[in-house]
Amino acid sequence: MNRTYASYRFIVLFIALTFLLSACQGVDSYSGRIIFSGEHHLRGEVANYGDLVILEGSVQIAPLSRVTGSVYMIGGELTLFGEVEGNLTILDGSLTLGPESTINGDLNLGSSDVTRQPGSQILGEITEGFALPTEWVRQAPTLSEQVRSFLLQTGLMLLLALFLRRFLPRPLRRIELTLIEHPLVSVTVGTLSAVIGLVLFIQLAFTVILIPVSIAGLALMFLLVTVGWIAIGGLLANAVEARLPSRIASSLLYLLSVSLISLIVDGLGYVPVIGAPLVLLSASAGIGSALLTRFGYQMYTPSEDTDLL
Amino acid sequence: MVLLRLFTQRRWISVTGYALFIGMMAVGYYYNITLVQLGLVDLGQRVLGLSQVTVANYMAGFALLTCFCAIAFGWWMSFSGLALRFRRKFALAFAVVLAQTLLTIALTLITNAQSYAVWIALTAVAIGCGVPVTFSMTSDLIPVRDRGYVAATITSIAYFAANVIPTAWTIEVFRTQMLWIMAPGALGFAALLFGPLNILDVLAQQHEDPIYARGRYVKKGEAGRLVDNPRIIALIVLMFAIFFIDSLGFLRMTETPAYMLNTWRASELEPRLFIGSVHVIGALIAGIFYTRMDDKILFLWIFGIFALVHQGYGLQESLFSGGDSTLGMPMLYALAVSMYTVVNFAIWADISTPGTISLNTAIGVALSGWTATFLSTGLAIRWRSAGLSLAEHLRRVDALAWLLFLAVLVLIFWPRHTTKSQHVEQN
Repeated sequence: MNRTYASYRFIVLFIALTFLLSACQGVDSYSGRIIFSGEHHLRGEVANYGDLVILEGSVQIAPLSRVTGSVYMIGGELTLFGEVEGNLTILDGSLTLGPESTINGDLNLGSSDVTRQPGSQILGEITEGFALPTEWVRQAPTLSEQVRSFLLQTGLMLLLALFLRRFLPRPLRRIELTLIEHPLVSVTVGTLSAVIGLVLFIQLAFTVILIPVSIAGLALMFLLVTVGWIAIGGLLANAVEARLPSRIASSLLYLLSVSLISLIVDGLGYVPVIGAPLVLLSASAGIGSALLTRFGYQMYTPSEDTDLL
Repeated sequence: MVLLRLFTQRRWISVTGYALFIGMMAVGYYYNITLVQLGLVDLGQRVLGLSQVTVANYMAGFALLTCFCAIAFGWWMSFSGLALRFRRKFALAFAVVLAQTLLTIALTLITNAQSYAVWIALTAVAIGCGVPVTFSMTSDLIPVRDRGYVAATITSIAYFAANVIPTAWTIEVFRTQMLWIMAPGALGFAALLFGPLNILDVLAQQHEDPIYARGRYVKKGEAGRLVDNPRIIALIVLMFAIFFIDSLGFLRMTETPAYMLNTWRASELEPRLFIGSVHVIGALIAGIFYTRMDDKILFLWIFGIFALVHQGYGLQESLFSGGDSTLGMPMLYALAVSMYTVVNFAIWADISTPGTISLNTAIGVALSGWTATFLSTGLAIRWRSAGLSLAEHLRRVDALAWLLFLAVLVLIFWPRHTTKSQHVEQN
């Protein structure tokens, strides 16, 4: 494909995506408020348009004021003197219902303290012992589940490693070289790309129509991280091969190295304090080296004296 | 890094030059973003009881006067040859620091709008002279290869301190802090200038060394003058756009408690420590990008992050109006601000020679920075007086941010057709 034509197409595609992304601000179909902390006194005829989510902090809804949606409490304190048009669901925290308070929907109570003063009205049903469905609550994995997960992760990594070594050895080599020669730049570019990429893909999801792009973007990031770890495995294999007195089949050594990297990445997750940062660092390096080499298709050379625009 | 080489060669005076420059610029920038940008607003509104619009008008006037003084002084420095005389520049910098220290002491004397206006005018002159003087010392004190890292260090110190140290955004707090920093600083300047050490004489020769002299983007044979250099025009436009977008969005957010109370103005240390740390990380990233990568990529990142930030704020205001702000958006904001600040500290020296740096810096900083501040303040006042809601304000800033990002994208990636002669030359 003609390079100039490709550039035009890239720009047009980007402009179209940008307009779609910007369009998500025009959506007025949902509104709500999230309270993270602090004291909040909600007054006026409509105290809150839409749903109210309380994570922490203290909220008071004044008499004759109403919330037009539902209220969800994860924690904190809620004192209701006014009206809630929807349901009131409390997972944790404390609730005080004032004498003239009204809940038009259901009251779902989890592990929460409720003080109900005479005169308060609940027009829907009251459910006690409310909790999230068990399938929503993540249980700690058992040892056999952990082993299975590790084997699956390593198996997929090995398959990808074999594919890259067989069909794309040069791009993989360029990524390896960039990792070893420019680790600082790789980590820097990778960290920034990962942070900004995550924010971008979350915002893309708000447009609804771009949810597939968002999922594809996250999958690409995951792929780049894996390729980075495979490249680290390749570097390890090269280093070991150079030091071994007798020759071992390089493919076997390569697969062993990639498996070892998979084991180290998995094991680092259990190391307190430094474990997670080290995994993130290696993931960032992978993303960075892949991006710097344009997915392995050209060598990265640091800029010494570049022209601006 | 050249600094490591200087260490191994035991060139301690050159190493001292780094410390001197970083300290001077970090304190100067801290003074600007705390006492000048936040303290003056607090002084006008809370202490003197002036209206928001009146204070904004004073601040706009301050920006214009600073812009004028910087260009005039930078022009004079370049054409009188002062830009090449390090000892004279150092003496001028001492005079500026002394003037700013005295002005900071005199803050308690401001009791009405007239004295407020006089103080602002005097500070504008001091800062206007200070910008070309201090920035021009880059080519005396910092080797070309290390400018990105040094700019990152200055930005990190200034923003980390500005987020973590102030307990409240009041003029009294800023005044006390600045006096604790500036008074010893002025004494240090005096000691170097009038003391027996010959540090300044050694530093004065450094701009003749090739590793310091010619900016990274000045080709051999070029004088680095504005008229010869279309790059500076592109840079001014780009930096202007960044300053403008940043200022226009942030001006309105500072007035919105929901966005400030749990983040930049949190009473607890943790959120401010987090934002300060992100500033440091952003500055380091920009320092590495500036040194090791193409500038185009850096500019693209900055515009892209700004567009994402404003998109995020606009989205939050549309969907969760009135709710608390998380640290996600401030994190991105801090990243973008740190990145462009690093560019702003490093780039003007890199498009100049020691002889032209004063004028180039003055024009660059004044036209991009101060003019952008002036115009964005004016526009923010206009929008507010027209009754524009916060959501609509943020939506417009977001639209502008995306538009600028697209403009930069097209500018960078639009295929350029080389002429036959250029093609032959390239081959």
